[in-house]
Amino acid sequence: MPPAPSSILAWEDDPGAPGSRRHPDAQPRPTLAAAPLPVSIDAKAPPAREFKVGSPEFRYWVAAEALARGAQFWGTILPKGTRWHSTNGARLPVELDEDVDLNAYYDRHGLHFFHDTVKGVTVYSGESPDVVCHELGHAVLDGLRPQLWDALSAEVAAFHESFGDMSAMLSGLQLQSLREEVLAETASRLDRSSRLSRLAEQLGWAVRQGHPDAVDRDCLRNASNSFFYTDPLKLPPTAPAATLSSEPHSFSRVFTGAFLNILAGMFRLQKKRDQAALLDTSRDAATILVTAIKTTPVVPTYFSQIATHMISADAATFRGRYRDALKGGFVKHGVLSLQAATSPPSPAPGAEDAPLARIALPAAHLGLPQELFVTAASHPKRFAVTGAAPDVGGTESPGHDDAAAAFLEDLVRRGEVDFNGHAVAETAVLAPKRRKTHEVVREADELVLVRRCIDCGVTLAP
Amino acid sequence: MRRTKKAEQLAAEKFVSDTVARGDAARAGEDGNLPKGATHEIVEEPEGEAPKIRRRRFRLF
Ligand SMILES: [Zn+2]
Repeated sequence: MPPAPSSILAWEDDPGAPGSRRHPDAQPRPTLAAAPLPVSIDAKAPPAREFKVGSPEFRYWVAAEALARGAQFWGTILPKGTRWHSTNGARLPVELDEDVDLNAYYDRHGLHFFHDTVKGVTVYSGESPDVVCHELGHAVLDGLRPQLWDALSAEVAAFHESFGDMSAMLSGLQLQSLREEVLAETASRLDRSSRLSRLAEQLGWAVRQGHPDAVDRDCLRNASNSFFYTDPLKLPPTAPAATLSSEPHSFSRVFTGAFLNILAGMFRLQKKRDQAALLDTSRDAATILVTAIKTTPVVPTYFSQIATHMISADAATFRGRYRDALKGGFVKHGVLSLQAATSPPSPAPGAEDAPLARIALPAAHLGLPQELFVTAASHPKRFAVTGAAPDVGGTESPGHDDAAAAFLEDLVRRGEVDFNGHAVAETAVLAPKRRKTHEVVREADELVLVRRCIDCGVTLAP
Repeated sequence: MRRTKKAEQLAAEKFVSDTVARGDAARAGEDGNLPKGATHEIVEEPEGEAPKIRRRRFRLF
């Protein structure tokens, strides 16, 4: 007789806060060495059996199952050839219980989990599939887009954290039992608070005992939230969990909140709203996310750039099937301004392309009787979009007008502007340079700076 | 280009100052390790300027 297939016991997403009475499920023995994202736990594997909750052997298989599930999931979504960042080695090393701490880390040399005892309960961060798949998410994103690792930007750092939380949600949705539970708990409205949205309930409980305002009330971070984008330049470095700060985990909740809304919106578009459709939704959402990450430039306004690239990825991959769901989620959380979401995403021009929108600049100091309209210089963002401002419209990228004004002053200083008689001679700097690259022309009631030629003597068409 | 450079610079200065203010950046110990919770290592502290930091790890919260 062939041996019975070995099964182990594992939590679906989290052990739950004390008293939650969850039961682990039987799962087939996980495979950690599978390509393309193999994982290696730094401990001898116990026999594949259903061990008692609370035993080290049980915790080993919980972590192994979550790691294998997350790695297998992302392995099917990432572009072919994506590997762990090279400093991790070919297999991502995992330390299941390194020391005392209520935390977990990814450091380019693997994943590191810890334990601590709070009010008589010992909490192991590696026993929560949510925590394991969050950390695994950091490693996945680092393999996919290593440029994000050390960008000195609150939005980029926050996106890394958000990707960890999205990784936890999407990896959880690969389990049929969790999909069914979440659909029942939310009455199929996935944007409601549920096992899906609540990340790391047990560890959140443990942290809350010592620092009640450091985490959400029901878990570590809840993706079912109403945080609205604010330029992180205007946020304090820290704040209680109930409000937003520029701290990456705090700020990440804006993007993760939008993503949960998007998942909910995408699921509503499925013909049959059952657990199988939810599985498809999770895979489509992950595909859109990964496609966008590959092409989004690393800029300070990373949230709005990723969002626009996700809309673009949906158009390319799913013919815009999920466009309204994406826009709805991003606008609701201010990741995209209404204006950015309602105009079709068009690539921002390079230096040789059509100019950007006109900006009115004060021009009295140049001797002009009224403001002068100029076009901004090209910039490296692929999409000229911003996040929302809390009142109306979009937030201004820092330095926008400053750069255009400086550009104009440089031109005037260099004597490259032909004022065409519009300037008041007494106050204007009218340099006697023969060839002017720019001229001031009147269009209706406005004075506009237009380029006449480039500085090598070639005259351009107007 | 100037506009983006300025935006990046502002974002970077705020990021460094916030990271240091929160205690998320620290000097590595003699063993090369960072204190618990720190994500960034302070690699240089030029006088009268913001410290130079580099990421060593991401953490759960
Ligand atoms: Zn993290």
